Amino acid sequence: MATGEKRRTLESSYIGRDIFKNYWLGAHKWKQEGKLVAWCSGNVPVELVHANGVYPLYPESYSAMISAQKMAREKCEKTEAMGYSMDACSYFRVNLGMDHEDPRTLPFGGLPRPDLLLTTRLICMTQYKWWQVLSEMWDVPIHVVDAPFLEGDINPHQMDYFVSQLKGLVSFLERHTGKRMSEDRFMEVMTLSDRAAEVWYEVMDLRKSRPCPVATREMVGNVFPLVTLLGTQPTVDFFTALRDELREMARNGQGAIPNEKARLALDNIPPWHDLSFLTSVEERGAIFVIENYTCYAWGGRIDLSDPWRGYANKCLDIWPNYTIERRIQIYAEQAREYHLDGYIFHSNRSCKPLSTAQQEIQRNLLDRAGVPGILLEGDHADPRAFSATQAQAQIETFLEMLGL
Amino acid sequence: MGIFWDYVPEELLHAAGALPYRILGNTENVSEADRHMPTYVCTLMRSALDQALRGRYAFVDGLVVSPLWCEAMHPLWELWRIHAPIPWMEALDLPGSTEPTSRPYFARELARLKLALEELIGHEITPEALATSVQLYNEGRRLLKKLFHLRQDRVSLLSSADWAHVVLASMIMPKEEHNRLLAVLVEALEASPLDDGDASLRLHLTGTVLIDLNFAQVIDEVGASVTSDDLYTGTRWYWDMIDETVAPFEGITERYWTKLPCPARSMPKVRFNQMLDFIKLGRAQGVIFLTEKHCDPHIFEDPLLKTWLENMGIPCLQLETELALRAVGQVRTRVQTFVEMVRKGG
Repeated sequence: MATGEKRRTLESSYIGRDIFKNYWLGAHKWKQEGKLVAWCSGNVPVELVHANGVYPLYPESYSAMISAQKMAREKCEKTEAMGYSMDACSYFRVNLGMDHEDPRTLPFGGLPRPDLLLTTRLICMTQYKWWQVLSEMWDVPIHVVDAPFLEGDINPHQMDYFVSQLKGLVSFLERHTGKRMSEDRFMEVMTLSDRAAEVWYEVMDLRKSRPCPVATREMVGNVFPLVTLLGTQPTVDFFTALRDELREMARNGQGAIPNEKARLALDNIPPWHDLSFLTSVEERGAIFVIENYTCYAWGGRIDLSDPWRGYANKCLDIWPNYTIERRIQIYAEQAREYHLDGYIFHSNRSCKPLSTAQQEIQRNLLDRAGVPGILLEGDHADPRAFSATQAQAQIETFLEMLGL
Repeated sequence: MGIFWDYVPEELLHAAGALPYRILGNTENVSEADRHMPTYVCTLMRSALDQALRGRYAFVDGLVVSPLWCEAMHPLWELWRIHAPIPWMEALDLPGSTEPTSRPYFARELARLKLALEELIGHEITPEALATSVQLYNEGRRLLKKLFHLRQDRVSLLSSADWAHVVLASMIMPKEEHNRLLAVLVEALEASPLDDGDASLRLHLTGTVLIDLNFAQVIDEVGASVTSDDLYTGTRWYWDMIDETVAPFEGITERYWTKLPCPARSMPKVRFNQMLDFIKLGRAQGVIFLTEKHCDPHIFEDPLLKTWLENMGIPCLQLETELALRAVGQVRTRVQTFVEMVRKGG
C-alpha cells in the first residue's frame, strides 16, 4: 500500500494517497456518527455496501499496510501465541494480532470494531473461515455472499444463483440499516463503478507504452480505491487524473525510468513487507510494468442495460475463477501487448488460489510463448517466509539471463 | 469410480452401476506432485495428485470431486485433468452457504451429476434403482452406527486401530461385501460380554482425516481408546441416514445438504455442538485434534474449538498431521503425556 512521502513519481498518485488516508480515518468518523461499519473480506461486492450507507472496511488492506510499515511480524507472533498455525493466512494473523492493542499505537487509530461481518466465497475459503472466527469471538452478525465455482463460462443456473446472492446481500444490509436501497442509488453506484473501471482499463493500456510511464511499485498502491471505493465519485476523479497524467507522459515518450531495457510483470499479491525488489531492478534498466493483482481481482465493466446480471458478471470475472489454461493464454497475450521480457511469480504461502497453479503457468509460458519466469518463495504479509537476499539473488540471475 | 470428499453421493454412482471408490491419498512420501503444486497445499491433495501421476488410480473409469472451492481441491482437479486424465471427470459445486436459499442450487448440481451419469451409461437411473442403492448404503450406515454404539462398552474387544480399519474399508470396498462382513462383526460383538472394568482412557478424535492407522495404534498402546470421532474418515462420512420414506433423489439431496458438515462450509459452533454430542455418546475424557497441516478450515477453527472445550473442563491435545505419522516417537510421547495428565485430572 502507499506509504512514505517521496516514493511517488506521479503527481496524481498523491490524490490516491489522500484517498487512502481519508478512507481509514473516515471509518472512525462514520462510526462516531452512529452509522454502521462492516468488515468486508476480499471481493465482497463493495458497491452494494456503499449503496446501503454502510461503511465497507477491508481488513486485508489494513494488514497489507501494517506489513508495509514493517509491523507485521509482531502481530503474527501474537496470533500464533494464541494457538493459531503459522500456515494460516498472514492477513488474518496480522489482523487478530492487533485485537487487544491500543488503537493509538496503530496507523490511523486502528480499525473500528465492525457492526456487521460480510464475507464471500468469491476468491477464497480462508477469509470465509477468518470471518466466522471473528463472528464467534465478537458475536457480530455475519453474512456470506455465496458464489458459484466457475470453470469457463457462467451458465444460466449459476447466474441466477449469484444474482440471488447479490440481492440477498442487499436484503441483509437493509435489515440492519432499516432503510431500503433505492433503485436510483443502485444505478448510481453501478454507473460510477463502471466509469471507474473504464478509466482504469485506459490506465492499464497506457502502461503498454514504451517506455512505460509508471511502474508496479506505484500502481499496487494506486489500485486501492478499486478495492474499497468502487461506486464513488472520488475514485473516478482520481483514476481520471491518473490517466491524464500517464497519457501526457506517453505522448511525450516519457518513461518512469531513464533508459528502459527490459520489461517485467509480477504475478500474485506483492510481499508488502519488502517491495524493494520492485524498484531495485530499475538500477539495471528493468522495470515492472504490469501485474495481475491490479487487473483481474477488482473492477470491471458493467453492462448497465442489464445491471444485476452485468454486475454479477463483473464480480465473477476474477483470476481465481479462471482455469489454468485461461491464465496461461492471458499471460501469453499480456506478454505480447506489454512487450514483456519475463515474469516474476511470487509464490505466496498465504494465498493458495493465486499460487497453486504458478508452476504450471510458468512452465507453459516458457514452452508455448517463449516467455521466461522465475518463482520467488514468499508471503504477502509475513516477512519471515521471505528471504530478501535469496529473492535478490534470483532476480539478479534472471536479469543477467535477460542480458542486463 | 473415484470420489473425492464427502459430498459426492455414493448412492447415485452405485445406482448407475459403478463402484464408488473413495480417494484418500496415501502415506507414501510425495514426490511427483511437487513439480506441479507448492508444498504449502495440504498433504491429502498433494498425495492424491502424486498417486494419480504415478498411475495408482489408473483403475478408475471416472472421478467426481466436490467442492472445488476447497482451495487445494481446485488445483488438484485441474492438474489431475491435465496430467493424468481419466475418461470421465465431473465436479459437483457445493454451496459455501448453508442457508436454505442455497439448497436449490445444490439440488440442481446433483441433478446435473445424475444426468451426466445417465449420459455415460446410456440409460436413465430409475427411481427404483436409486431406492435400492439408498437401502444398501443406509444398511452400511446402520451397521457402522450399531458398531459405534456396541463398541462403547466393548472397547477391549475391538481396538481403535481395528475399528478405524473397518470404517476405512467401507469407503473402498463393494458395499454389498462390506455390509455382509460388517454384519458378522456386529453380531459377534453383540454376542460378546461387556467390558469388565476396562481401564482405557476414553478419547474423542476430531480433525480432518485419519488414514494412518499407526496413529490409532499409538493411542491403543498408551492405554487409551478412541470412543468417538467427527472425522472426515469417520462419523462425518457415515452418521447421517437417508430418509427412505421420501423420493430417493429428494432423500439423497436432503442427506448431503444437512449431513455433519465439512468445516469448510459451516460455522465453528455447528461442529462444536456435534462434537459435544459425540463426546457424550463416547463418554470421552479428553479430545485429540488431528489438524491436517495446511487445511484452512481446521487451521482457523480448531484453536477456537479447543479453547471452548478447555473452558468446559475438557482436556485437549492438538497434533499437526500430514496424512502419515512421521515422528512416531515424538507423537507417542505427547499422547502418553496427555493421557497421564488426563488420568491425574489435569
